[in-house]
Amino acid sequence: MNKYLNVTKITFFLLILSHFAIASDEDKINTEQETTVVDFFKASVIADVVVNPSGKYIAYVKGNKIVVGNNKLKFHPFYTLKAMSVQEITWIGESNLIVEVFDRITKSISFEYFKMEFEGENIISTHMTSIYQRGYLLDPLIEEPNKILFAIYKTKKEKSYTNVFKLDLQEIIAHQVQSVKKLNRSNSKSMYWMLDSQKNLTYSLGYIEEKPTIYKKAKKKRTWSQIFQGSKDNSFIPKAISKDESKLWVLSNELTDKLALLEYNLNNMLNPKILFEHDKFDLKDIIISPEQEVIGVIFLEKGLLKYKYFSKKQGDSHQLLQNKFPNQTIHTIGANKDQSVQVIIAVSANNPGSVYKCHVKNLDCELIDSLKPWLSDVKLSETTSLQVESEEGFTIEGFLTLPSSNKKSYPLIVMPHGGPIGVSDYGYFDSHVQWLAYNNYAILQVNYRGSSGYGKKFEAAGFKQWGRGIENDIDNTLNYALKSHPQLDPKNICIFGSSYGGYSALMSIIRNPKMYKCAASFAGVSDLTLMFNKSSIKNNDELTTLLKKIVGDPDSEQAELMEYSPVYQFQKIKNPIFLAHGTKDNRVDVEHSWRLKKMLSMANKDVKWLPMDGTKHGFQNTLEVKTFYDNLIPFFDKHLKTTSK
Amino acid sequence: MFLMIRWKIIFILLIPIYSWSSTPYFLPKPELSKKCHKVTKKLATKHEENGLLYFNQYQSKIKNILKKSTADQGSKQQILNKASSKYSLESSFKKFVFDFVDVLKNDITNETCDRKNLESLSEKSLKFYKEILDRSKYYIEYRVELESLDADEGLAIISAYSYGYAGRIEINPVKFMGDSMSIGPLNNSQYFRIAKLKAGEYQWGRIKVYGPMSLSYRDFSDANLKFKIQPGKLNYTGVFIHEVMGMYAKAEIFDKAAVITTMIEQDYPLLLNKYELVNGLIENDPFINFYLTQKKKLKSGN
Repeated sequence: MNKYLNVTKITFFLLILSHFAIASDEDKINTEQETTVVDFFKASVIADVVVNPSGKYIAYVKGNKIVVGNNKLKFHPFYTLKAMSVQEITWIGESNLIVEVFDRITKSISFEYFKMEFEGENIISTHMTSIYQRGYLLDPLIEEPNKILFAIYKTKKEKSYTNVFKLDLQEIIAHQVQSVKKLNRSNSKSMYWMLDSQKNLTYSLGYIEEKPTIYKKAKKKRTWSQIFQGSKDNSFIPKAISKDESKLWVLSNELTDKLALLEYNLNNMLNPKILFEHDKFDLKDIIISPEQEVIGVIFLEKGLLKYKYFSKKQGDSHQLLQNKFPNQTIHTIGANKDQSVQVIIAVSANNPGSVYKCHVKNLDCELIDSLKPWLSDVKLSETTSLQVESEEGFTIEGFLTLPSSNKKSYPLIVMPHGGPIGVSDYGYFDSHVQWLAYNNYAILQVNYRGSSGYGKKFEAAGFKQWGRGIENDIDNTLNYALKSHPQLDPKNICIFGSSYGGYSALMSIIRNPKMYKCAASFAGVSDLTLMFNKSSIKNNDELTTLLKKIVGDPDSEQAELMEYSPVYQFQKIKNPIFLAHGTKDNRVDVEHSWRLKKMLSMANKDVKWLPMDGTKHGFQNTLEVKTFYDNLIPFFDKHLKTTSK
Repeated sequence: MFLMIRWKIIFILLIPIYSWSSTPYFLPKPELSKKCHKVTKKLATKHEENGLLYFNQYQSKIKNILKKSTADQGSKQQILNKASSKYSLESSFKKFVFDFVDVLKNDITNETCDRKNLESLSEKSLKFYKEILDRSKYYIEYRVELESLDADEGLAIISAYSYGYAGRIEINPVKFMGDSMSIGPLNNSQYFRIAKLKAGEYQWGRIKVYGPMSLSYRDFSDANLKFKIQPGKLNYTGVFIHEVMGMYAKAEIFDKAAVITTMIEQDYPLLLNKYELVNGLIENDPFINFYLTQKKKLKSGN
């Protein structure tokens, strides 16, 4: 569970990263001076920023290098990434680092251990060893130089767990980790571990038949006993334990509709207390003080992460820092041991983000780097949030992005997200949205029923609502946006999405051909019955059951599934369609788009077909993005009146 | 007699190679010695005559094979067109017959005019050409044989792709003593063919893996990668996809009915007309029936 203690720091970065996960380092194709689609999608220059325990030094990924230093010393590159991506950087004490690296060619994970020597203005780095194992760093054991606790993933009879080893980084030979004695003897059921102040394993968390299960180790014995088991239908995310090891703080919806903060007594795990539940939103994280007390929670409000402190004093301290960055929200992505030095990111819909190192007491912040500095001179668009009440009593949240140009009227692209269950759009910088807005299209995103972040009932309301309730929510939000924003041209609307969003675009134009002039789908589902047919799904009972719950039963509800599949409703498609699909898409097979394209072509309907050779379910590099948008933008330009652009 | 005339028309339409092969002319290059000129002229004539001989023999064999076909003349032409384009008969004739003759005419010097060597090159070139004709003949023979089925046989559309290398890939009957078959090797390439199989259930099984000093198998027999063959029908069986990922490999069957139907329409229209296309992978998948019904409707204008 120590693994979870870091979550507060990294949640936001993950959230932000999800928006540019498709980026790559293929900068070569952008040789022109003018701003192109590549500028919106290419990888950020900075990632994975971590500060050392004293707050003196920072390490982070800059381009294809990992650097260490501070603004006074200048940053010293100590590792070059060749077709690799960094999973995590961890300080081991004041001056050593472990970098978890994923090799994109061999698909292997390695942990690289570096020693740093800071001598005056010089930084000398030495690569000490590599650990080639799939696992995670459980604890850096700062009191024991060159030693770490390391958990290695294991799978036996389809059950996953980890084994914990104490490694001496000066002695370990890359491939011989498993020869060291494991510390979790008689417990081969757990994935995550908690340590006491002496760094002994005390509690563990495993998933037995998908149910979160906590085990406790008997003192001075090897035996472990189960002290808690949750339900597989609810979330149970341990976040931290109190310093005296008596309380466990968990984000859970076992007792509530929304993901709330619960406090468990670790002695018996009975009668948890609800410390905080938001009336509208799931909690995303908790805030822990240097004294290891829970002092606040984080949730998304209007698509932006909001920090709620339980005490006014701590809230004010955060607010003072926030005030230094008007029109942006700040988020802590790293901190030193006493949290006096924090690494923050300042971000908004029209700012991809800038990372600062801040001394909290004197509110002194120095810029480390901007994520996409090449966009600093580009006028990006603002995003506002909309709230619409559905007939069923849900509040549907939408995000409207208007181009930054001052036109009286804009053509609109409705952009439903993928999923449909457990996925959401946010109010932060989104490369797709900003590129379309840069091309003078207004964009409407909708967190329809089934989206994540709004509680269990809201998520479950999206089950079996393909082409039905979900698209009602999209239409309702669209109608509201048109009424409340006269600058949106109601006669110039298209709809575009990927994955479920592609399906939604196709079904929306079938349901409402007068509203939408065209529809574009990337990697979209077009035949609901086909979703069950791949052998890996057909042979997996659990996956098939889940899919039936979300989509419907292809045996007993085949007629219904066909009724809500664009392929079988192709005759109702009256307006132009754009279909793009990767030939190596393992999640939604290219066959989906093939089926629809075949039917539409046979009926001489207007379909633009873009098979993308080797592309997967998402874009892997900027060349794919460029190919896609070089075809999509002309499609929109053709079908949305350019007079209003 | 009537049939004979029609066949001639087909062949003229199909492969105008015969008309190219007018009487060989051979003007002596002034710098060549008399001896060399004589050798090259004789060899060129012989090479071209042999090329034509092989082609005529091929034509005559094909004529006999096609007699067995139940197809109408238009469909027979399609089969021939397919064979011709698949093995590129026109370009093969040019490559192995005309080009070699051109070499003899234009590129030989007194220094390179070695009779034995040139004869050996001619033989090699004609051997390649004959192999191409044989492959084309085999393709047509195989294709015509698919038109007749025993009572317990069905046609299986076998399709596979391998990302990375796969040696021979086995397809075995699940519970009965039916036909086994194997395809491959495939290396970042696809396999697409129609085969006769006894009715029953089949599964994709082992893949041969060649190591530097060893032979081993990746066994997917437990992965439940199955399909069914119905007698007297054209059975769609999905697409077997094998992917090598470093030390590991995975295999799955994907339902790609629209892709495969399109390929069948292009490559085997006659078989698609002759036999009912059924789904041997997912019996209750509605797509194939829906597509065929809609196609019929649109064709009839309803």
